[in-house]
Parts: sequence; C-alpha cells; structure tokens
Amino acid sequence: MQILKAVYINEIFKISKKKKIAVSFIFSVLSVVIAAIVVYSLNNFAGIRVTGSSEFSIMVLDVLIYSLFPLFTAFICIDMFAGEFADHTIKFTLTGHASRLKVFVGKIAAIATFLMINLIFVMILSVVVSLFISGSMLNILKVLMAYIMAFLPVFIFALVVVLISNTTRGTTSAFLLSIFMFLVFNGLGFAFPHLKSFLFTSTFDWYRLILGSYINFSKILRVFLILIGYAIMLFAAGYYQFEKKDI
Amino acid sequence: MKLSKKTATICAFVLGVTILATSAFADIMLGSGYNSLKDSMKMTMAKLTSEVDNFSADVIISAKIDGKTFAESTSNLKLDIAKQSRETNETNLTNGEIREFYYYSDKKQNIYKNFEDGSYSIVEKRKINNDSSKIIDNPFEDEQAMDAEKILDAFVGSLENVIQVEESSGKKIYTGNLSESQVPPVVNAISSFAFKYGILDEWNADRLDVPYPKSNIYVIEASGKAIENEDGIIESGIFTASMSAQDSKGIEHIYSLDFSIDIKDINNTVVKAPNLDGQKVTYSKEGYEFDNKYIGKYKNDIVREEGNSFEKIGERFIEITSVKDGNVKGKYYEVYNEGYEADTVRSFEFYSDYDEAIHFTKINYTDNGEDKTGIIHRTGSQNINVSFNATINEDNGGYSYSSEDGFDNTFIRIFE
Repeated sequence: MQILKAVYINEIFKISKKKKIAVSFIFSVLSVVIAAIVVYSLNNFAGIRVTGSSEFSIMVLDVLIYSLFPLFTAFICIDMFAGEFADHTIKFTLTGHASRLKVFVGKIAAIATFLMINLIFVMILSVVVSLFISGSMLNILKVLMAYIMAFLPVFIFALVVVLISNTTRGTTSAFLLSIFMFLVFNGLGFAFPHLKSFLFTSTFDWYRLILGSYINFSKILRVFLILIGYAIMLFAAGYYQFEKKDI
Repeated sequence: MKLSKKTATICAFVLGVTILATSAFADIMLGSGYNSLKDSMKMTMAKLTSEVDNFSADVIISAKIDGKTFAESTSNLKLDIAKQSRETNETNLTNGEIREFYYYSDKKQNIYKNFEDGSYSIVEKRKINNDSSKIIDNPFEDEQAMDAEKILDAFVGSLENVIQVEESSGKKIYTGNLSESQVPPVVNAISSFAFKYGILDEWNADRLDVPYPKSNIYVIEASGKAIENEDGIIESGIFTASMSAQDSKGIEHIYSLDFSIDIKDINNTVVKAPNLDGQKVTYSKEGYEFDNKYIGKYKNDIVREEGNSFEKIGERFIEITSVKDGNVKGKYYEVYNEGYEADTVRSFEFYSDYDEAIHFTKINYTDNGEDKTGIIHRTGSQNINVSFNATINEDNGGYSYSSEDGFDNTFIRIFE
C-alpha cells in the first residue's frame, strides 16, 4: 500500500508539471466563458433562452463531455504510457521497488484524479457563471450528480486510450488511433442505433437519466453495469499489454 | 491456490466481458419505451392502411395562451379503405370566428359544401385518377419518413427513456413527460427559434390577435399519453407542449398546444355521400381547363432588336377552333411583315387529347415533318400561354420546355 501510494503521488506530481494541464484548464475556462456569451447574446438579440431555466452547468457538460474532456484525457493517458515508453523515462519507474501492477494502478488512479479535478473545476466555474446569466433556481444536487455520473464514461474512454497506447508504438499513432476509435464508436451509434447498448460512447450523456421527474432506476443500473463491465475488461486488457511491454 | 498473473488477468478480462455482454443484451431486450411506442405507431398505421376496411378518427388541435384557447380545429374523418371513400367534417375557430369545412370523396366524385349559402359543389373525377391513387397511404413507408426516423434515433440519446410503458387489462399505456431541465439545449434553441419565426411569427401573432413572443423563449414542458388496444392499434393519443415567452412589453405568457386523436369504429364506419335532394348543386368536371368561351383568336408580336431599339417584324397567331370535353383543337401560324422574310415561317395545326395528361393540357403538333408536344395554359382570365417543344414528366407533376430565342409564350385574345 505504501508503495502504491508512492507511485500515485509520483504520477500526480508528473501530471501537475505538464503544460497540457494548464492548457486544459485554460480551455475549460474559455469554453465556459464562450458558452456564457453565446447563451447571453442569443437571449438578448434573438430572444431565445438556450438553457431554458435548466442549468447552464448541464449545457456546458453536454458540450465538453464530447470534446474537451475526452481530448485532454487522451493527451494525459498517452503521455503517461506511450510517451514515457517513447522517451524511456518509464525505466525510472519500472526499475524501482514497485511491481508493474502497482505502477499501472498508480497511473490509472492519477488519470482518474486528473479527470475528476477537471470535472469539479468546470462544475464550480459553470455554477458560478450561471448565477450571473440566468436568474432561475439552481438544482445543485442534480448538477452534482450529473457531473459525478459524467466521470464514468470518460474514464472508460481513458482506459481505451491506455490500452491503445500500450499496444501501439509511438505517441502519434496512439493519439490518432484513439481519436479514430472515438469517432468510430460514435459513428456506430448513429448508424446502428439498436447496437447502442454495446457502445460506451452512447452512455456519455447517461446523466440525463436523473434529470427528469421520472427516474428510470433499472435503466441506470443497466448502464452502470455496462460501464463497470467495460472498466474491468479494459483494465485487464490494458494491464496485460503493459505487463508484456519491454522497456 | 495461487493464480498466475496471466491467468488472473485473463479471468478479469472474461469477467468484464461477461458483465458487459449480459447487461448490454438485457438492455437491448428490455428496449425502451421510445422504441416500443415507435413500433406501436408503425403497427397502427400499417393496420389502418391495409388491414382494416374502414374507421373514423377525431382530431382536435387547440392553441392556448395563458390557458385561454385562441385557435382550435376539430375534425372528424371517416375513411372507407375498401370502397376508397372518405368524408371530412372540420370546424376551425380563430379570432372567435367559426369556420366549417365539409368534403366528401369517392371513386367517382368530390363533393364540397359551401357553408355561406349551404350549396354543394360536385366535381366529377376523370377516369385516369381512379386506379393510381390510394385513399390513405402509410406514412412510415415513405422514404422521407424512414430517413427522418433514422436521424431521430441517432439524436434521441438518453431521452428515449422518458417514455414509460404500463400494461393493464390487455391495453398498453404509454406516457412521457419531458420537463424543462431535460430538454437538451439544442432542441430548446431550435424549437424556440422555430416557434418565434415559423409558427407564431409577428404577422401570425397579429392576425390571431395574440401577443408576439419576443424574448426569453424556452420550452417549459412536453408530455403525451397514448393507449394501444388489444389489437395493437393506438386508439387514442394526447400530446401537449408549452413554451414560455415574453412579449414586447416584457410580460411573460405561456403558449401551449394540445393535440388529441381518437381512432374509433374500426370496421364499423359507414361513409356515405351526402343527401343532395333539394340542395343547390353546381357540377363541374375535373381537369377541363378550357371550354367554349376560349374559342377564338390570340396573337402576339414578333419583335427583333435593331441597334438599340425594338422593331416589330411580324405577328404570331393562335386560333382555337374547337373545345370539346377538354379536347382542344387549333392552329398556330406566323405572319411576317413585308420586307422581313424569315428563314422558316411556321404554320401547323395542333390538338390535345384529354386522356393523355392529368395535370396539363398537352398539345400535339407536327412541325417540319416532326411530331412534337407542347403545353397550353390559361393565363389572366382570357389570354393563353403556350410553350412548344415541351417534355412532360407527369410523375413529378412538372414539365420542361426548350425556349426559343425571342419567342413570347403569352398570346393575347383578339376581340373583333
């Protein structure tokens, strides 16, 4: 446990030193501000209230969950696996005391932490901004639940990227392949709606299930199980590849 | 027993796949309310258009502002698919004014009622129409509808779980309720935009005497309920949607739309032509564009551009010599002024055969030994419009013609 904690702290430290983190947060702030301007001006000039009296934060989540969150998660994941193998910095980690499993778990935990912080950051920011643009009542509990739920599908995507970056050689191919997978999964959902249940990308907006007056708990449970299944499967596959890989 | 790392990893992988597959299959099997409602609607339309002999439907659409109805349409439709007849009774209310509409149609005739003087108009159908047209089509077989369905499926996302299904005593009840926080921003923006500029635009708002939705427009709620009977037919459905908006004075109003449909008397509906004994009736025949008053002479000028001025060099004439049961006969000729000899001076006779085209008066003529077709129309009240060298595509309800340089299609009636 001590070793795992050390690996985790080490990985968090490495992430926090990356420029991409700063870029990610700047983009998050920008998206929230731009969204606020769009919503505000559409209401002022065209008279259309884009967010209705629903939460501005949910709208921001709707947009970012398909763009910024997966993109920066992919960057971080690739850096931490394919990147470290490519520039051989992984040697320092793997020749230490920690077993490969612990290194893998530590890295995944660090990625999850980054994602969570990013989500919490955007949530707080958008809640604050929404106080200025819509005077309506804010349902903090639902917003909080939605952001918590949004974590899981993006985390699954992170595991997909981890699997890919442990399989390919080089960071560019890993990045392109990850983007390709993301688009293919989304495309499949469009082309074959009856297969949606098998695709993790169609669960990206599953937090909508809790927004209505009627909450379909059995559906939420099914989607949750699907995501858990994905998580276990991808974790095992990713670890298998990581274990096999030569330094 | 200690598992090797590899075995443990593979076991975990298999476990993950199992959980994923079983829950995903369960999810597909259980389906969503949205999908079963869609199937049920398709089934209903398929049965109504091909399996049942006849049925009636009541449709009420009403538009309200702050709970007060400002426009309403009530219609009763009776359809006999086997006999290809239909009867429609409609009452429309706008601005406190009631307007009625009555229409009956079968294989032979269309009957309209004129509510101002209580008289009826009968339009006898032409034979050609009878076999090709169906009294009611299944909208879901339409290519456009099928494409629209695919797009809807792709975009509906998690909203498909809004619809719930309940079963009681053999009937299925579908209910759905979309509250404001659930409406996706894009849907909200598009429907608000459509509402402001398409449905209740400034002109319509003024005409209907309701406040124009100017700002702060958003969808408040949409809800619906449908009941499917034991035979798998949706026998009734209600739907209501409401939007909130502020008018130009900044006062907030709630605009709502209610829609309800009841399908009843399946295989129990009798569609009968109205009893016209003692009624004032006007008869006419479908598709007779020309009658005797069009017999006569028409002309226009042949004009040439000379330098920067127009110069008349001759005249074109059309003479309609006979019109009988929609068949037109006549001739076309050109007369050039002295001193202007054209390369070809055209002159030919033409005729139209009523049964040849449904939507147009198609004329046949022989020009320079070649058989050609053209189109003749009425224009204004007494003039005609003629296009030669036309190609008619009746399936698309259109035609095209190659226009000659300087040829004027409009011919003015000559009164002598």
